[in-house]
Amino acid sequence: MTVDLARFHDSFFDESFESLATMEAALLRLEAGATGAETINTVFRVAHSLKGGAGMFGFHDIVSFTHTLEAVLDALRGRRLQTSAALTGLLLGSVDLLRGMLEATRAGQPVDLQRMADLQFDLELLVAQPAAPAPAARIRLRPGLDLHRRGNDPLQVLGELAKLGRVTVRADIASLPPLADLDPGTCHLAWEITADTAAPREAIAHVFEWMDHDGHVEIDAGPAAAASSAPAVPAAPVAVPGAGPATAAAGAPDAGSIRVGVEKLDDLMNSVGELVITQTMLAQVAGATGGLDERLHRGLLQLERNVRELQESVMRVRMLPISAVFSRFPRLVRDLAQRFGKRIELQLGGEHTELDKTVLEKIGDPLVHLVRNSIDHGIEPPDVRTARGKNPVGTIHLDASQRGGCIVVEVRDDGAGLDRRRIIERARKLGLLVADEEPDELAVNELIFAPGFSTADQATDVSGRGVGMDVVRRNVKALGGSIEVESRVGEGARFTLTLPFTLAIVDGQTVAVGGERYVVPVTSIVESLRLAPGAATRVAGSGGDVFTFRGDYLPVVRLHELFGVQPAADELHSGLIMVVEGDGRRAGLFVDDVEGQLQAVIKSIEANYEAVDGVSGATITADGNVALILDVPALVRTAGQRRPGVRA
Amino acid sequence: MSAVPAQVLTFCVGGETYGIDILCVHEIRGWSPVTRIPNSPSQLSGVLNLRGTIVPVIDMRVRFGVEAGITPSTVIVVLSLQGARGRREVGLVVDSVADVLELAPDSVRDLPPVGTRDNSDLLGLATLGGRTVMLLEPAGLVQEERGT
Amino acid sequence: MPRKKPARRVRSAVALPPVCGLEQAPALQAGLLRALASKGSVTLDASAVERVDTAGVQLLVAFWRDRRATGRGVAWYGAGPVLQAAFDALGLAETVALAAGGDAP
Repeated sequence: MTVDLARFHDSFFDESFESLATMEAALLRLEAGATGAETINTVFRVAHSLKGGAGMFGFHDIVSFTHTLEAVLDALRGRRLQTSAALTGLLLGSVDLLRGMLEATRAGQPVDLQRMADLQFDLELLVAQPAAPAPAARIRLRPGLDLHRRGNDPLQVLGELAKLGRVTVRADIASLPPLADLDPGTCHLAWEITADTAAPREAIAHVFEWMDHDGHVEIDAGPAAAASSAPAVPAAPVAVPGAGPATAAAGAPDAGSIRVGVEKLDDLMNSVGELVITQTMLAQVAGATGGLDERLHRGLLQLERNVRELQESVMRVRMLPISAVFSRFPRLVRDLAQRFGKRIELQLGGEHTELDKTVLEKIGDPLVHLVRNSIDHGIEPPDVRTARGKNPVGTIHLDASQRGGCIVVEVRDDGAGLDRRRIIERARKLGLLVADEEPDELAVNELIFAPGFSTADQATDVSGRGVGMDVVRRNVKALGGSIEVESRVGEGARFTLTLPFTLAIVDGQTVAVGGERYVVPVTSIVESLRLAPGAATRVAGSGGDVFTFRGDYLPVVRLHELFGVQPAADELHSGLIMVVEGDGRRAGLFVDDVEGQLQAVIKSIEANYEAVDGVSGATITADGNVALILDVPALVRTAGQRRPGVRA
Repeated sequence: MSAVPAQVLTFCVGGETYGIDILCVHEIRGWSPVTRIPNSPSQLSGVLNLRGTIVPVIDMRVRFGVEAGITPSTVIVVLSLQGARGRREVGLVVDSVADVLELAPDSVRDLPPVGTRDNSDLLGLATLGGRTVMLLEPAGLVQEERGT
Repeated sequence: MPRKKPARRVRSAVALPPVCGLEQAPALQAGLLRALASKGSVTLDASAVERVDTAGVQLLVAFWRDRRATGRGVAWYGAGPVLQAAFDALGLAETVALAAGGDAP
């Protein structure tokens, strides 16, 4: 394989994963009863293009498998095969397999050939099975006289028809004039066609659509129906959409979008960042000069506005709709509901809510966990629901919306709600509650976020592994978000995640330590205070200091010592203590002073260098210099504190 | 030993002349203050903002153990290097840049073992225009700049 | 493949063009008309045919029927799968003796 081709690997994989998601969505629609040709066509197209792409790169296993898949889909498309739960099950399995194969291929690992062969065998079996005896449709075709001149060719139409089933054609040449008098532009032939097909009348009519305008087409669908227009197969009630003959162009909703590499967007962001710095510099120069020409002053203000708008626009370009994450849930819910013998309907809302790619990449896992939790613990089995007078089909809502500067994602179910009694029981067993303690509702809800907490009766492979809501909360907090739960017994539970739009920008507070400036994320700041002389206590032998804050002893982190900087002052009372919290622990950062706030666009230090202890990233300040962003959880950890403060 | 570059950018550090493959050189910029990285090796003077990316800067004077000071001729040579993790940029603080010189492949001699210094960042020696030029191995620079 | 019988004066041949479609129909019709009155057996040389549409099929059917109506022979030479498939699909293979390897006298 040439190096040049390898350059395209990434985009092949990216596109393939994306189109597999499209395929999966279409299959789920199919399973839900959609029989529209376009749905099947979508699936077919994905398989087909995947085969083509894989062929180009020499991924033979993928080619071989997609080839089999294509045959099945072609049979489905040609109505030689009927949709069934078994079929969609196999097809969904194929999506999983292909995903696995692509992942393995991308990683240079061997693909699971055994699994592939098994599935391939099942699929082939499906195609080989004789189709259910299909009722015959009789079609009489008397094409319009100038059919050929109008560019219609019965030959092609009959070819199309043959795809729907076995076709017997009888031609009638009675109207064919002698060769000498024959007008080649006119169709003098007529046909009587019998098609053994399960396809509904509409599908057949669709084939003849163009002929119908200038010819005579009579379709008698079904053997008994002499001139009935009823569908041939009542079980397949959805008609082929009455669109034009070319349906291939449909089903590509993002035709107006282009694919751009993230690095290109980063470049754009960087350029805009430079522009902001230049603009700031101009504003500073103007401020220092004073007595500025009025027009120049206005121009600078205009520039500032424009630059800010440009920056926001570029940020928006990075935003993706949350549907990218939501799209995996229909499948997940289907599979899990099946496994637990529950009947669940998933309702998605606010799928167009946009958020930054950085957040999007990280919220998938917490959401999966919450939805799994709802399926496992929330929604009751159908018989229980019926007994409780509820709809046997449970509903899980997944809603996204924008609130202020945040994204709110809600996972809501109409299940049993949190089981207060069991939670308390479990908490006592884990020692999270003293035996007689009767917590209020809020406290009970908080308990489920405690480390190691899980109320599942038996450990399932879905949830209840002991890693549960605490992990979810920790992940969400790491994103700078929060999670809350509300519950009503017997009515359901609602988990609300509040997340920032983006991880690319953080609101920061600049602190000064000696000649250095560091940025502390505002979300991790609790309070800044000045210690009175003697307020801190040196802990014997440790070399560390502690001070009291809201009844807790907190350790002091001397940034200058940690970072090897000469501070303006060494005495704790001559500087500032910034109380910060990270991973649920608190500590006091000792700094010289607190300076301005800024919106810091987070830059990676690792991209060109390496990870730096105590630093999570860097940002460019208004003057174009680099400022390091502090990794508060890491700094708090270095303070050696295990619990959020020892009781004073 | 890597292939001998066809053209090298020569620069001075502590009175000695060094050369580096011109193809690695991304740009040359005037010296500007950098942001110190806590607990980093002494030769890493810090990081700077290169059009929005954070680029580490190695002080070659510290690296080669010579007197360091900032003069009007002090510049930062920014290199763009292809490494295992993709393209990386790194800046070198040098006393001044001199020329771009053609290099004949046979004009390069291996470095004789001298002292105990790890010379993996040196490609060899070449005599150019009557001066001895030490050719730098760019990959060696980045390797050593990490770790420690 | 060489012709089975030596070419004689009584046997004339019509070479069909690679594309027997509507665009080529006038020329094809003219060629067929010239051969229509031919006294001996006419061979339709289809060895070059790559594409055919219903307009072309219709001409060939008319020619075949008219020849047969006057009791004169027509034979195919080199009728490939393309032609075969077209006549099959249109239910006309039997009409022109292309069904199941029928080489007409």
